[in-house]
Amino acid sequence: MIAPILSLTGLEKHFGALHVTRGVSLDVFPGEVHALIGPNGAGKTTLVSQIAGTLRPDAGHVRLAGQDVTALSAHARSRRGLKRVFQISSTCESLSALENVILALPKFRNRLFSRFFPALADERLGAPALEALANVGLAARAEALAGDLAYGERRALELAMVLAASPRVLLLDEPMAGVGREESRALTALLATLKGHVPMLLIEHDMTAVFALADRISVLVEGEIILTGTPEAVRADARVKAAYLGAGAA
Amino acid sequence: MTPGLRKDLALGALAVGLLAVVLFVALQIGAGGIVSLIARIGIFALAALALSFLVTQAGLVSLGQAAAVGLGAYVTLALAERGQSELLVQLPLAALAAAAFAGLTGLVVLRARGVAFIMLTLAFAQMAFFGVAALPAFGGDDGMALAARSTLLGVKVLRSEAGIAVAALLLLGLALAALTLVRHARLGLALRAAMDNERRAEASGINIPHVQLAAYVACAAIAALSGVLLANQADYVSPGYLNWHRSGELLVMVVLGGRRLAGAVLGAALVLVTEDLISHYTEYWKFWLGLLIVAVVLLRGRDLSSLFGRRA
Repeated sequence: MIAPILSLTGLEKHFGALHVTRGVSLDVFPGEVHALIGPNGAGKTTLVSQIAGTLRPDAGHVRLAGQDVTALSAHARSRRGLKRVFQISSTCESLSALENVILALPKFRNRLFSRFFPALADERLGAPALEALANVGLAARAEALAGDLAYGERRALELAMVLAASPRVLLLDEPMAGVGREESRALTALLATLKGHVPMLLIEHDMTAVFALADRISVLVEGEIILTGTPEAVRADARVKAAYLGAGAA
Repeated sequence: MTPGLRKDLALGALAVGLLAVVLFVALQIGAGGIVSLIARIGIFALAALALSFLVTQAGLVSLGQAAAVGLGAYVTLALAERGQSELLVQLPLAALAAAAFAGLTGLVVLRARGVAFIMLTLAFAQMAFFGVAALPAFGGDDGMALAARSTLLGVKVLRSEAGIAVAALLLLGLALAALTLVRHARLGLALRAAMDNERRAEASGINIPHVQLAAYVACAAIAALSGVLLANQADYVSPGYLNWHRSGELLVMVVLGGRRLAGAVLGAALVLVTEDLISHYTEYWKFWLGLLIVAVVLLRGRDLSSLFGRRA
């Protein structure tokens, strides 16, 4: 059996009397897009914070490629390959798209004071950066300034920057939030091209995107995962309909 | 080699090459005034170039650049007093003194941003100004004549204005090439990223205080080299070299020069030629220089906002 790249077991979180995370267990396998959905107030944000490392769970474990990272900070988890996307809008507008990706390469900060070869001509930087741009369909815009890119292109650039950091798993925290329908469609297509390359945990409200991308879906209701299954299984499940539409509609 | 680097190097070669051609022609026709002018342009362009790197590549608008120039001049004066006139000793020691000053003060000033940064660089430069003015051994307020012009391997290469001009253009060319390389290297990219978006740069693992301190120190060292030549050209060193309006004048050259490093050469030439030309006709040449600055700032507003705006 293949080992999961990201694994949550028995996560518990209380805020005073509120029990916001109730024994959540979830696995993301290599190559998989695992979506996490749930109605407002289900505790998605709290759960994401515990996965990313900005919030410590009361009980349970977060494992990254088999290693227990429950006690590690968000920064340490990021260095181990758990990359949270769209957390900050993070480009340098006066630099070119290519330069932005080069900055995101883990290799970049090495030998800052000893390598005076032009960074753009450095094969160790330029080649992987161009590859990351090509992966998100931005190869033709490599020379453009990040500040001159259209909104959708900017998002693609951010994604290329995350990819350049060679993530082991992407934590996509509501990437469609605040995005128009056109852009949401473009971003969904973009994420679809990454499917299979990088495992992702997608937390999203936009059901069109979720059903288009996910291999498996977990449904979080009142802090508890009530179901994990294929999109078809989730769509057909009465409990999910009840949770989303209210008990009376079931 | 990338297209961007090639273009910047070509512009630098063009700027320094033009000065060299004018110098050559002036020497042929025996125009001594122009030879002196080229020497001054070369010297001030060297200091302005170092400041331009800080301002345009790192977003560090320093109003204390004259301190580094003046320290270089005082090291030259002190060494000449002790009978040491060798450039191969004077240049490194001048650079070292200014680098040490920048290293220590940089630890403080680089904690500040924007206007606070400008005021702190100004404050430290004024401390250096009053510091050297309080040195009776070097003439105090009045300054002191240089004991002897500098030599290279014992040869009196700086005896004539032509020699100083050639030395200034050589150092200028070398510094411009070196800083252009750094601009395009990892360090330059890290500095530009930190200028643009600090959080992004930190997320990339760039230690911002480290890279900015490195730039601050290196640019002070380069400015000190121009101080060595300045002391030789004037045969005199006084605290006035460290005064804050000297720093302001260098900043004017940088602003006139624009965003490219080679522009500092243009800015220095513009200021000094304007001074030379207009001061023949009127003693109010600074009024006309002021008008020129206003015109450039208005016409190139976009460039200048990208120069100073992102730091806010």
